Amino acid sequence: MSEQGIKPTVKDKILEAIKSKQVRIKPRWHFIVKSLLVATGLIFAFLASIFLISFTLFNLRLSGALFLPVFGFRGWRILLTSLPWLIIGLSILLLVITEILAKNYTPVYRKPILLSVAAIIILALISSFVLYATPMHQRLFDYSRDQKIPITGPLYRHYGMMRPSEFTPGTITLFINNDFRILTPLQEIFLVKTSAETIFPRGRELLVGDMVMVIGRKEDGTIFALGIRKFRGEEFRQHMPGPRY
Amino acid sequence: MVKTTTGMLKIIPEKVYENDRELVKYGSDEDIARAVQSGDISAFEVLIHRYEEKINRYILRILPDFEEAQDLLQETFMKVYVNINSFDVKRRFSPWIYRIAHNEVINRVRQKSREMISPFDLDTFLPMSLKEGVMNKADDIKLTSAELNKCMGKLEVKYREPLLFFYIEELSYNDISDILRIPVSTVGVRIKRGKDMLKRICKEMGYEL
Repeated sequence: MSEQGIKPTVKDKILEAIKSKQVRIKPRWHFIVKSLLVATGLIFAFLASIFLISFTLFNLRLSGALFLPVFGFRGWRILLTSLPWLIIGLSILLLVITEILAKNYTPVYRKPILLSVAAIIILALISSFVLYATPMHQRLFDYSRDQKIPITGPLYRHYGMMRPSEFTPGTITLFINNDFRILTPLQEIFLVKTSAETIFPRGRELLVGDMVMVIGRKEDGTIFALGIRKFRGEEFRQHMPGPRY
Repeated sequence: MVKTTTGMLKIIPEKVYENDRELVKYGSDEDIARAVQSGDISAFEVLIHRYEEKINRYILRILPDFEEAQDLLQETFMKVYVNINSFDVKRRFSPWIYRIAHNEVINRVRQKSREMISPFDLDTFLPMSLKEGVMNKADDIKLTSAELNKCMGKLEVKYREPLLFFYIEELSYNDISDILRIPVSTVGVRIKRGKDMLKRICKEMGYEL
């Protein structure tokens, strides 16, 4: 292979194409719009992922699923199966889009992907926890129940009003022999049937007015309890801010 | 012959002198690019003059087909002209034009050979600790151009490009990072690995690097 010089015709062809206006310079606004679109897409993807991650946390708190790990391995299993995977998948997709769009910027592509990915994830998680700590989701949920928000309304109604099949939070309202009734945050009444297999909270006597989390399958207004855990009132109220008792 | 600051006379190679004269007359690449952005076609001619040889050399080392290289060279300059308004004159022009040439070349390589040139590579994921100072340009490759090209042709494109930019075009790690859109540390790693591979290839072919 030799390094041959350029044929003069190439330069002539280029200049000829320019002079005959076969090729034209794209206007500056074209690139400004393109840059704005990338920046807007980046910001939108990042904010949307923050919204969805914090919504997932809110949803877990609202359903009481955040308390499931106290049931040990079984609780973790139920927690994993009751996570809103569609929302989580969408959040991950949005974070991937954020990373791809961020790669257009020099400080990002000059660093290893692992660092930029880690930075984006950490930033998104911190921001999500901050957003989760604000009353925004609670207010949106309240408004959505009254159908005041057209866009996010369906999201809050669908996930906020979902009845988990394997666990139920509630307040004890009445004892019937070894069984008891609970009132859930969604104002539903269930009869909790206990058996020899039911694991009760150790050293804690259950009383009317106690706030509990019950795991076990539901059938026609009855929960066949596999495990019951009691929560302190303040702790429970703090974690169950949505539907009123 | 020019007078240096110490008053001594120094002989400057004709080509360097010519480049200096051109620089004085037309200014830096960025100045010329600004002129092209303002619609000065003759300024674009100066850019072609400055870069045609470099870009052609780069293309030929990736795609050693003269006709094809000419075609890609033309495409590259057309794209440079069409997209000149996307160039930020506060930045360096050479990485920008090489970036366009790189895109053209890689697209053609993908079409032609179906060689897997993935934008995602493990060495772009993990942080590497190689510093630019580790690689020494003075520790040079002592082969003739023809011999070097024979060896280079056997090297994977992902290693060939950083080596070309670093040793032949004498660009910095940051510039190469801007052209290839890979982390700066990855540039260092690829240069080092590429050089080691090149040594091995040359040895196998009977050349001493």
